[in-house]
Amino acid sequence: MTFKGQDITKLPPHLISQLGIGYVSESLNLFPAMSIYENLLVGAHTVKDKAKVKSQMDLVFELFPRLLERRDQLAGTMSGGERKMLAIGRGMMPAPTLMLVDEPSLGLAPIPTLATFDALKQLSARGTTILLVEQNVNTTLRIVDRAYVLEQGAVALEGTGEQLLHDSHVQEAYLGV
Amino acid sequence: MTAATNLRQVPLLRRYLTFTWITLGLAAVILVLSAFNSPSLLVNTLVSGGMWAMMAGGLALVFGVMNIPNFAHGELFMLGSLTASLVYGPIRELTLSSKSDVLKWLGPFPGILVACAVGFVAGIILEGSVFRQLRKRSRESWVMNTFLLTAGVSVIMQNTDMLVFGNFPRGISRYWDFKPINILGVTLAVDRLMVFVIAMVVIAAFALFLQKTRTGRAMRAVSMDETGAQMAGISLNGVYRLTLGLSSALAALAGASLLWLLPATPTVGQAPLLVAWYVVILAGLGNVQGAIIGGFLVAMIQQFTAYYVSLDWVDVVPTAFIILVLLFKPSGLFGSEVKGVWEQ
Amino acid sequence: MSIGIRRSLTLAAALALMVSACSGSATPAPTAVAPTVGPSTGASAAPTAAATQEIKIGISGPFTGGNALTGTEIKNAVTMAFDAVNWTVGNYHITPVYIDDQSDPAKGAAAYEQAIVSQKIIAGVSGWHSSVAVAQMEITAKYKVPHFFALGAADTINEKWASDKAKYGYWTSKGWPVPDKLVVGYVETLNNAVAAGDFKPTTKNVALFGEDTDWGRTVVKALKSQLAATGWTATDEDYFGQAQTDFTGVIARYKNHDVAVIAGTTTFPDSLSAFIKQIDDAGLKSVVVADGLGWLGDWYKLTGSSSDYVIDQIPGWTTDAAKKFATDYQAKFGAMPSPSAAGLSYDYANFFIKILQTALADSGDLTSASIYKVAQDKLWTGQLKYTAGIIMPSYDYAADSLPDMVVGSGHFTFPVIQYHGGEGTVIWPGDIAKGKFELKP
Repeated sequence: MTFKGQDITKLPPHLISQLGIGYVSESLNLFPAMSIYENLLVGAHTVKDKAKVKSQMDLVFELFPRLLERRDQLAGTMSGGERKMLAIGRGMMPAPTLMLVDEPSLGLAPIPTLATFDALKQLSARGTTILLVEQNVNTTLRIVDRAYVLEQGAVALEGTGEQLLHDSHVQEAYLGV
Repeated sequence: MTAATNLRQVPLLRRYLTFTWITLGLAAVILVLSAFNSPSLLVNTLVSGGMWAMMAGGLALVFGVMNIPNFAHGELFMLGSLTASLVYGPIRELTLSSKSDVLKWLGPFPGILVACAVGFVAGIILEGSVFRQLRKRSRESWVMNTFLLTAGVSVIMQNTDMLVFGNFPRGISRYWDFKPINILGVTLAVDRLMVFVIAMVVIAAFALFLQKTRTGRAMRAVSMDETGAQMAGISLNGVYRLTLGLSSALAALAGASLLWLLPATPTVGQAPLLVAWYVVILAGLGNVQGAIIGGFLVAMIQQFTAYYVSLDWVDVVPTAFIILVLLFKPSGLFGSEVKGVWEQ
Repeated sequence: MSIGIRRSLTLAAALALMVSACSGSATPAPTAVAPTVGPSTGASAAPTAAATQEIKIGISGPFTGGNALTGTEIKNAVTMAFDAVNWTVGNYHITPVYIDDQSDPAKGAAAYEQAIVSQKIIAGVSGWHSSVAVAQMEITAKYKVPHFFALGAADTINEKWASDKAKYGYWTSKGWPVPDKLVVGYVETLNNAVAAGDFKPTTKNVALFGEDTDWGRTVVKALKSQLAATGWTATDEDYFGQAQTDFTGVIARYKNHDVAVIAGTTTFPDSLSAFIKQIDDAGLKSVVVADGLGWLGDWYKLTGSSSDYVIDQIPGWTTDAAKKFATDYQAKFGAMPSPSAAGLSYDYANFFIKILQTALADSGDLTSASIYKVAQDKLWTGQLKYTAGIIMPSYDYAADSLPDMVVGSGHFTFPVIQYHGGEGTVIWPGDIAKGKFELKP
């Protein structure tokens, strides 16, 4: 596996993230006894430039105004949707070129799900490549540029989100149309 | 997270009327009231508390960040005590013959600082040669395995010390041989006062480090979620190395600054280790902040027992108190579902 | 490679030598490789190989643990005594087996039993702790191996001894009398000082302290009853473990009770020196009786000037022979010996050698039985005494003193001393006093 021409298969996780790959895991892996602000600061662990940390944090707060409201609240005491926002925000802090997001809709009610996807869309519009893994096919396909359908470990279909949304196989198997 | 853990939703009164706060509040009230009876109780509690806080803080840090119940912590105390006695020995001759008060004040510091550095290096070596090797092989039954390993390290260090330096206690009568100082009508030896000052400075610096610095935050992050920390680009091995180094430096510092009370012998670390474990179990495993407060609480219980009951009960009463606390709060006074070395 | 070969050849040669040495001694007893082997076994065995017989003697003491220093003094002193006779009595060559009690009765008893069962010791000598002695008495009774002159003093030993003399008689003799017979010195010193007007206490309150063992409790009990009989009141009584070094809480209480005298004992030097320093730091002017401070040769390093005016009971290096011993000891082991641990143990080891010689002369062989017979027939009757000692004028036992020795002037007696700058001045009894009781200014 290579990234920007470098083999990353055997790199330890913290070095991979330093190469500019952000990762938002399914279980989020937040720091529950730290405030939102501190979680974001830890997210920017590899960024030495303080001005850059500040601007990245402003960006996160712009995207998720809710986090700004609760800046000093402990991550462990937040609702599911807020935690998801924080996880994405933390992933954004080092300004990665590629961000891997694992099932952001998992365990979320429809409205927070939409808010999360909206934020991801805005993030990608600002130039971050996002690789999203999702089972929530309907909503996902509406926002993505390009989608791949994996079936039993192999790519079964690929195309733009719009194309797949109208694909008969997808409609039958995943959307129940 | 359930709604109850959301602090914002818990009424103010209920938030503070928890078992922990009632206990601490009672302790504070008793301490202040008794100070009118005998001020030495308050002063002695603060002074001994500082020492225990320093020992227990390091122990809690290693458990919090690395999940290691470090039973070799006492031997790092011993290492500090030994180093300080070796370095201070020749310096003492010099300062005693000199007339300068400044030299007499500064004399003990080289030994204490060198001990601190030796402790730090010993911690890093311990992490690299023992725990890192175990991590590479397996992380199964981690707590049990590391417990056994540290117990083994403790035996090896004790016996090596005995072999190389002998069983001879290397003690000093005093570090700062000045007239005792009078505070609140309590005469206090300068050594005791200085240990308190050292403990306070170190604890404050340590707290600031954990709270405010990038590295300190990284350490806390690792203690809460290792995967999350790695995702943020934090090197686990680096944090582990620093954690063990810092914790060992704290233990060695405690050993060095207490040389006038506990002469360096191979087994000198056993008693402080025991008290540190009292404190850490009372406070909740792995909570540094709790361990620091717990250090003062245990010191207070010991002082009160010695004063009001008898010295025979000095070990019994804290143990009974711990049992009582664990009955009501099995995770310890400051233990909680939210795991972390330093809670806001 | 060549180095490897040479090394293995050397090893093989050494092994061969060891094997031949073993067969040379021609004893059928299994020669288990003991961790502690006496000095120059091979050398002294060689010339008289045919006639020499091997016996093993147990030397007991706290060689490691919290009292390792005292234990080391005991070990060194006993070694010096046996060295002087080249570890031989008649045609018997003696191998020491060190019984390390680690200041713990259970460990002491187990180590003693192991020494008898697997090392086959035929008798034992020395020891330090009372509680260890009580435990080891069971072992010597069980295997009928006589033990001599352990320094454990508490009256629990005497009670056990008296309860079944036939059984516990194998703990043949104590090297230190019950505290009741010795603390009399402290009580008289204090009362004399009050009578002479040197000591004008505002209260008659006394604080008593002791290590939480048979020894500590016996001393406190003796002090308490003797002080109470002369008008003092014990307002404080504390016992503590060997790891105790924080006494600030207790001292605050002493201050509140306005105690005139603080008296007690512990065999643990760290504890006692910490206690004395903290009393001084707190500014207490009470008279401090610290029984046992001087048991450790180098105690002054730990207490510094805090020990000034502290009262203790320690024999001194008074005779020329005693001073020579102290100098020799220091030259050999690099530390200052204390009269009560090293000095007494040295005398008792010599007395023990005398007992072995007597047993050999009387019975023609050295066995547990022949040695025990000397204890019964000659030691207990006062026939056999040791007067060439460096600490006491005479070590002798009498039917009414057993298992203690005869205590008193001309026999076994401890002078009371007061420290100034790390040196003790004898202040009691009057006939040998070199100075007067002084109050802390």
